[in-house]
Amino acid sequence: MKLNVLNLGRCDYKKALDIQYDILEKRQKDELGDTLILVEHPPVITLGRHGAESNIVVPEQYLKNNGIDVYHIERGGDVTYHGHGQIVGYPIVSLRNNKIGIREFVEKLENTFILLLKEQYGIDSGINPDFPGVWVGNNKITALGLAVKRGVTMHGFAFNVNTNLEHFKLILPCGISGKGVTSLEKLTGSKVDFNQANKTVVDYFCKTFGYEGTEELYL
Amino acid sequence: METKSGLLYSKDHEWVRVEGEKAYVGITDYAQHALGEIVYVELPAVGNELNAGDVFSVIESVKAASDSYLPVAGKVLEVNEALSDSPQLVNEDPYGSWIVVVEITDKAGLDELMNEQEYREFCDKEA
Repeated sequence: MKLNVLNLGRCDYKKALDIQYDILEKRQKDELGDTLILVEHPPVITLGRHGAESNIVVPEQYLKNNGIDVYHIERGGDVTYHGHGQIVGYPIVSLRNNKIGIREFVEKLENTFILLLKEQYGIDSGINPDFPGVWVGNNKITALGLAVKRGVTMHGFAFNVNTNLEHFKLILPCGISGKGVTSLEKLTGSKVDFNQANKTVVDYFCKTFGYEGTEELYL
Repeated sequence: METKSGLLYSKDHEWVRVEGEKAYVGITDYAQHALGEIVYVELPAVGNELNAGDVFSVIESVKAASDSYLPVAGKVLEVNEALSDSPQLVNEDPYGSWIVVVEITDKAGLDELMNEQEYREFCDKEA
């Protein structure tokens, strides 16, 4: 099966969320095959179903003044930050058709990044059984937070490529203290070609999940 | 994978135990295994009237929040409050950990469900 790829480029969180729901519904009805939505959000903070507001460490007024919105969404996990230079991916994938459970799906998603980092950048990363996501030492490079609705996944991953890591100081990422965040830029010492990085993510996603090539989707 | 005799099963991997007009509903061993370590079970409000196929619980595991669907139409009589504090009970004892009890409002829905043997065959095909 081919993977549909919908690259939204820079897109507002709310608009991308509406698109996610639209694609989700089409996937549930089998009107569309598995689709990976890629997007770069302007600075925004999202809280999972049980995210604690207290994990946002700056005053609400500060966020307002800086135009940073806060969204409560129906994914797993706690608080996270999205911003420029970060590749956000929303896999709208039928678990039923792929005959895998959500746990295995998340493990494959983690492996996608572990392989990509190792083979493309020589970076060793791994998982932490207590804290989901992909970690380089004590620092998270890819955050994960998914939801499953009628056998189809939504929400997804946030991969720090050239992300302004200072912005993570607005929150306690995923509600975990004593851990940090990192980015490809920080680890390699230079800005990474963002378009190329998007292509690499798609390649490794296909490789890990066994898709035979991709099909570009346009809205 | 464990199953239990005397229960009815849905294609979404929920189980139903019918007692007179009441149905106890939970998720199967297959489902809890597929989800992994469960960290949160969201319970519906008592008194809610739900149709077959409506979301009655959201079960959160390893960073995924998965919807669960009520296999039979009913009015929520009771929710298993113990799961609020100890969601891992669903992993440890899926058939002992019912999530909701409903008063069945349309028994016809039960005909759509599978018995233990049919469910085992269904899971073999899924895997």
